[in-house]
Amino acid sequence: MDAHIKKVYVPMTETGFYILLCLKEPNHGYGIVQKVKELTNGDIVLAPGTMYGSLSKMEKDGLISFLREEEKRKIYVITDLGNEVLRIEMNRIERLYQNMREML
Amino acid sequence: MGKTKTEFKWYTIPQYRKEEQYLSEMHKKGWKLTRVSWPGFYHFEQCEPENVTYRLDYNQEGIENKSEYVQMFADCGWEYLFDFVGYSYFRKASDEAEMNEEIFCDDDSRLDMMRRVFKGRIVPLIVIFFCCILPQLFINMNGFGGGNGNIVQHVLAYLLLALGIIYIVLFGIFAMQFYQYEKNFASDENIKTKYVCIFIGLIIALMAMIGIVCWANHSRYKVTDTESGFILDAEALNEDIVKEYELKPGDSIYVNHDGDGGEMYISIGKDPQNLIFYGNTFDEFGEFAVSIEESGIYQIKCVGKRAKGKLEVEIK
Repeated sequence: MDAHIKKVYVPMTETGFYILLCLKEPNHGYGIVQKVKELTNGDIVLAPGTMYGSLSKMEKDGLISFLREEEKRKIYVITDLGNEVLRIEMNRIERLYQNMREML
Repeated sequence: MGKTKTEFKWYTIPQYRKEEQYLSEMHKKGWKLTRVSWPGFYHFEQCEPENVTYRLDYNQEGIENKSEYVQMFADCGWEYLFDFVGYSYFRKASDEAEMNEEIFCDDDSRLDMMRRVFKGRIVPLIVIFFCCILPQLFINMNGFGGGNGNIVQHVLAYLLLALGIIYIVLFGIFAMQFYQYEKNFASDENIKTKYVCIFIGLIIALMAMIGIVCWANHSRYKVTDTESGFILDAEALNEDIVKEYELKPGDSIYVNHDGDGGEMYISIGKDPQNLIFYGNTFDEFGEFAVSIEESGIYQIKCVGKRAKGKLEVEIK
């Protein structure tokens, strides 16, 4: 993994993490917004500017790839690189969680 | 169609947050935005006063892929209005509770938006400054490029200088405004260093301009006394050269001027009120001779304004 990817995506923003997580299944931007809303009981509502910017940035960096367009909505899916980044992030969060459990 | 009105508002490039606020306030007063035209005319149409949040995005990629870009915002409940100089305008009716909804939900994407504005709007200005204004200032200040320092170039040079200074002031203002945004969410010390560097850069640019003006106004010439006169070889003469000779009737002063730009004035006489010759490069005096009728001490005075060329004076 090159330095640029590490610098930008490790650690990740909550938005970035949820986008990658949701793109385990092919989905479009608004689909991700709805999914995240559902997963977080409406606490996290991803905003369109952030969503659009993140998707195009992640596509450029090769974390996700464009599949097809449906009714003016671009459908993306996670790539191998995206999975690798997601795994690093999951390990980090797991450790965070374990440490929290041990200390409290 | 109801009543319309137009207001002029001047927002600098980084002031999009202020602009959003202004548009929301107008809508609350019953004026909804219909379009914006250059350089800052906001056209409104009368409507029911409502709480409406206005938001601006700057996303070149979005404008290029407009249908899916607009669709994403529409899905999230934002009405797309139009683009104006790279900014896309969105609005969303909202009740008091959800007023001020954002189109960005984290600081990273807010910073990205700022970076896009910087790349799209400020970088071209910087390029124009360094690739156009500075070189043109240098050329015209020094009278290069075929104009030979004539009045047109002279005026142009000072207009460019004024423009350059306006640019630097604007860059300073932009930097301050970007700093105001950035310090809200980027907490690291790096941003202070970054903005200090920007201001040092601006000072260097200002010094470069002052340097160009000083260099152009700095005299570079050589005066050589000959047996019967002198030779002035000027690359850039910006001062007065005065030579005195004791002459008697029957003497003649031969002057040969081979100008290569700028302005040169030459006067010959016993005192400034009593000149026996006066000429300048506008009249292209070239070669001439003056005969002396009264004896006395004569002054030959050469006044240059970025004068370039060779002047030979010989007394016989």
